Formats: sequence, structure tokens, C-alpha cells
Amino acid sequence: MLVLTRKENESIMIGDNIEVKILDVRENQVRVGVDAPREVTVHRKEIYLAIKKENIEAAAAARDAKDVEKIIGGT
Amino acid sequence: MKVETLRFGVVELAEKDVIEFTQPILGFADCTRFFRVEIAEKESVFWLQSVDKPEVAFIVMNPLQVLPDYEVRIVESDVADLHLEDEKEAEVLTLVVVPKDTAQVRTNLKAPIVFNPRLKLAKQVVLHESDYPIRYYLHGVPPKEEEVQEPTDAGSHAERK
Repeated sequence: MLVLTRKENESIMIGDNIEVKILDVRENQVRVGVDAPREVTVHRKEIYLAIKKENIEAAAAARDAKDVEKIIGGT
Repeated sequence: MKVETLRFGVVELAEKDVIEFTQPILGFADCTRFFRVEIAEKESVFWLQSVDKPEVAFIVMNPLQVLPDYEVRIVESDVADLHLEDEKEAEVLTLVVVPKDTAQVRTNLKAPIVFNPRLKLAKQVVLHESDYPIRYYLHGVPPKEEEVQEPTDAGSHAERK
């Protein structure tokens, strides 16, 4: 992993189009601004992983699901 | 075109009915084309079947059926990405998980699918600023399994060029 030291309001460029800026540094929290082109998705990692996991579960459960119309009744 | 599917057999599909994901559903990078398969007598629940992978199909629903107040703020970059003329043009769908214990059927309100019905473009978006859960239990059953960890800090977001 590349490790760089930055101060508040300093940035890192990733390639030509992605800027990661340190906005605010507090005791154990850092606010980071990401400026990226539209096709680059930016997520908090734990959220990204949780959503990916839930999507995979959705597809796996759907593969085995029977009588879906009965299960999701009333909708 | 003929599309092979695990659940529905071989389906004859018109090109115009293909839904193109501008960003893949997370975890399904090689499935960008889907089509809709209706469920008998249901309008607000249907299947999204992958064109690319026969075994990949999702059950999706209109979340407003269970949560009339559910609100998705579509950010500018998604409006542009999906070529929406107007935010109101978009349809919002959520992925449904139907586990073996069907009392625990749930839907993902944190990462809905935003769909442009006019151009058949879609993407899964993540509502960074919202407190909506990844697991919203339709029958309000408390989960027995481990909770999905979600951070509570708000206020960070990506600004797009």
C-alpha cells in the first residue's frame, strides 16, 4: 500500500481525474472529499461490502425461491 | 433474441425490452443486461432476469407499496448517467431477499435501483445520506442472524465532476 502524509486541505490525485482531499482532521475522525468522474463509484467500504453481500444473498435466495407471489402477499 | 434462463427456460426477448445497467448491481460485474418478467397478478413485484447469466435473477419490488413515505433523492450525476429528463421520470425499485424462512422476507432500502423506463437504463444507487436499512423486513420480524453493520456518521459524500 502506498502511504502518503497529508495535511488539512491537501489532496491526492489518483490518475488524472480523481481527487481525494483531506477536509477536516479531528481526534479519531477524518473528513475526506472525493471528486471523481461519474463512472467511478465511491462508497464507504463497509457499506459497499454489506450491499454486495445482500445482493449476492438476494440472487441466491431468488434461485431457490418458490411461490414468490404467495410470499410477498399484499403488495 | 433468444435468452436462456434457469427459472423461465428459453425466453424470446425483444431488444427494446433489454434493460441496460450503466453500473452493475454490486457483486454482479458481469451482468449488465436484464429484462423484466412479470409475476402473475402482481404489478409491484416482478423478476429482473439477467440476459448474460441464466442463473442470475432478482426479485424486485416497488418499495412504495410497503413504505409510502420512502424517498429517494436522485443525485445529479445519476440523473445524467441515466439520461433522465426529469427526476420524476425515474422508477425506483428495491431488491427483495426471500430467504427459506419466509417470515424474514426483506428488501434493501439503502441501495435501490433507479430505472429510466423510457430509455431502459438502470443502476443501483447507494443512498449515502439516508438512514434507510439494507435489510428492511417486510413483516417486521426481528433478524436472528448477525446484524449488518452500518456506520452512523453522516455528512460525507462524493462530489462529481
